[in-house]
Amino acid sequence: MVHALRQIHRWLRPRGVLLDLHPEPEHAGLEVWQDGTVRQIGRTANEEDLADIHDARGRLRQLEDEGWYSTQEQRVFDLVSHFPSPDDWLEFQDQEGYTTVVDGDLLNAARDLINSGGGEFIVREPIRASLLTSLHKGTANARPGNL
Amino acid sequence: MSYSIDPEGIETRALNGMVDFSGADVLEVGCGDGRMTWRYAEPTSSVLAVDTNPNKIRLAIQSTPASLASKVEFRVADVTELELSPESFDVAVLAHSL
Repeated sequence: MVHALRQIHRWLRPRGVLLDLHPEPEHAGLEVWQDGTVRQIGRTANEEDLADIHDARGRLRQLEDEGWYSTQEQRVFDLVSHFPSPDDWLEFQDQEGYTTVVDGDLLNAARDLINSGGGEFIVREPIRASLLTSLHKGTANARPGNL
Repeated sequence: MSYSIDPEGIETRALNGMVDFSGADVLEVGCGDGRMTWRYAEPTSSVLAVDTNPNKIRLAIQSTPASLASKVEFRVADVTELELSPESFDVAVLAHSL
């Protein structure tokens, strides 16, 4: 992917920007929204995903250190997804090819709540959006052309 | 199965609050089914959105709003194998692709 980011640098116009979105290295929150009440259920437990996120951040830092991009702004926000039930969420995860690691007791708790009182299953995933400016050759300490 | 991602528009506000997409030529890498593309494409000049998954690209093409069809192109491609002209985009969006 570092190679791809260098390619993208070549395709960007001078002072073009790269907007990267990827999850924060935190477990997603699981909730049930029911009758206007938010019920916290727990969190996912995808340790492998967290390692991947740290690796992705490392790749961005590498590109900055090499002088291809410079971070202008970062924002963190929650990406909130609504599902009729935990099982719909699991099906979605499977369709998307995502790894899902979650305590079965948490899912059962959510199922019980929704089966007894209705509501929605909510997945709250913190996302970091990073805006980076493409640097010209010669404007950074390490020059892309020298790599 | 019905589901809704970001119906509150939090992601949309973040995207459009950080980048001025007006008149921009945009490259999106890892566009999937175009879910994010629709959140910023309207004011752009053009969007080239790529993903390696042909099923996702098919979905994206099928769900393209008529108002955006002339400016948004979806393509099955690996970004490392794309051949594009240098300095042809103002914005590159990487959605969970790093």
